[in-house]
Amino acid sequence: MTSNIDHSQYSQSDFSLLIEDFLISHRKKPVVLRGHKHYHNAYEILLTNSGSGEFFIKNRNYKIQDKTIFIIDESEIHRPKISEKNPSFDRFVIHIKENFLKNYFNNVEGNFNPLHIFNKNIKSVKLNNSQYNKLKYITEKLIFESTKKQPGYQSIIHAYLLEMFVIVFRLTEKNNFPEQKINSSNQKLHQIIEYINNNYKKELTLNDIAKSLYISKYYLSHFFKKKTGFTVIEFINSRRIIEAQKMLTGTNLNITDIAISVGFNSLNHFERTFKKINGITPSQYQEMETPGR
Amino acid sequence: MDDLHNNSIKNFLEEDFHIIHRKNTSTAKVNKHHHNAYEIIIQNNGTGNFFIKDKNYDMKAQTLFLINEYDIHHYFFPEKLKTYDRFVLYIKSEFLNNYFNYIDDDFKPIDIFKKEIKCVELNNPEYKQLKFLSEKMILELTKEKLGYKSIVNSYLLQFFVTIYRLLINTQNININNNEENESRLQKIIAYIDNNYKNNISLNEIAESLYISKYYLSHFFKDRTGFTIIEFLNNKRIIEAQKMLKNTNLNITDIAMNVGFNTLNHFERTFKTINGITPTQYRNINSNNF
Repeated sequence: MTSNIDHSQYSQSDFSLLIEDFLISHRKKPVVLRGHKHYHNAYEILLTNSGSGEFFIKNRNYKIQDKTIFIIDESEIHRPKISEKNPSFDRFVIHIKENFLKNYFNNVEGNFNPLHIFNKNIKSVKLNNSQYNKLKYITEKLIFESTKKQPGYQSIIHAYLLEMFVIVFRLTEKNNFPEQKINSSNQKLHQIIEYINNNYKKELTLNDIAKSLYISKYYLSHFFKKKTGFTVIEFINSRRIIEAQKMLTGTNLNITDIAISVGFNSLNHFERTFKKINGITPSQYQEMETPGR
Repeated sequence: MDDLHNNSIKNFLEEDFHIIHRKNTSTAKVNKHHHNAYEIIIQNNGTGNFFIKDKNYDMKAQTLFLINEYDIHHYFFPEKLKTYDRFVLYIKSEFLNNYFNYIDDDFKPIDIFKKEIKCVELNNPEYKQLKFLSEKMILELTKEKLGYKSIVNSYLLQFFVTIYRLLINTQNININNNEENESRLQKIIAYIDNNYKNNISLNEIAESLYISKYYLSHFFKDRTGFTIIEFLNNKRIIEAQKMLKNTNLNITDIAMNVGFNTLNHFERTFKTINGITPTQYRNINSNNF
């Protein structure tokens, strides 16, 4: 198992976690105010200490406030937008790779699988004080143990993660937390994203989307950018690259075939887009992510 | 195995792990035993002596005891004992050796028994931590909420690492009474360990240590709670158990090997100590078939 502490400001270099199994960070500085866009194939749990704004996850926005957890599945597009008036965003971030989790939970018997927290539709839970304190305690212990590396640290990190997963799992089981209301603008956003998810494999233009939803191209671009921080084209490309990443590690298709099947019409364009998002080329990615290849 | 498990909270992971919160001495009185399980005790309250393997330890509050798989142990306490409170964890070796192997760590839970430290006086934060984890495990095993096995796993692992770390800088402590007595006790036990395969008598042991038969019996009973013969039989049965588990020898051969003269005597003694016959024991525990 490898673990890293990252106290640095959030930055593009975070993609180094592509080769790490587990990464925990305490981040205090807000992202670049305009927002930072990223995804990676690692599960993510985020615990906020303070901050205000909105968190776009998968297909809708959730409120950012103190004492809240956000649960983000492996390949869900997500991005926090921090309020400009109060640009502080103090949070713990835990990234865990699937491999790490597999070894880890294979052993646990019964039909309970803590990983299921990521498959649920609950992405955000507001915590009460005791829930928050407990999770904060575990997180600080995780950071302490990963830093000090005293004898037995790997075992105790496993123990703390397991405890955290069960606690988060139980939190998402409860139905007594306020479900965030889906308002009409969230519903519109939902429709746009669904359209993109269903059609990204073809050549897809702003025009196509606007027409199919009976809105103007102009409204679409502004609305989408405002709600998610992504331009429509950036979002489509992100979706395509995520699917390509899955194929790079999960299939034997060659890179050109993958590029075409996720909707790029040239290898060159695919490779440029891939590198821009992930910082490495598709072949490098394939090498890193496919053990024993 | 023994009647202690009647008040166990819950079988867990196919009976490989139990945790019990015991608050009275009624079962402890007959508690002269060994099992093929490792045992960890967190003493919350109560006084007395704890004999483990070949030494006596002071029993008092906030003390940790670690008992190996085949260590003979016996707790004896003052007649007027009012308070008695402890957490007891029973852990099978299969569980301890294999269950946590998926974790890539130099530390293995079995390590906490390898230093042969039997008794540790806990300072306050360590004691509170171990007590907290014990209570949490019992609570989770009682309620059986979704995910309870995973979270008990987590607490157990935290429990092991906590103990492991406190053992790193610890020596065996709390050894009871004067050195002369302890060294005499150890000589007697060493003699039994070396000679149990033969037909040995109280006389022989007394002679070899230049003490009277009378003194030997009283001294040994006083220090360990066992008569010499009980102790000798326990030792023989432990060795027999290992052979039943790990070899293909037939039961008569095993009986002879560990120093019994007749199969009948072996089987009776075995059943008195373990509650089951050697054949039943082999069927339950065998590694080979």
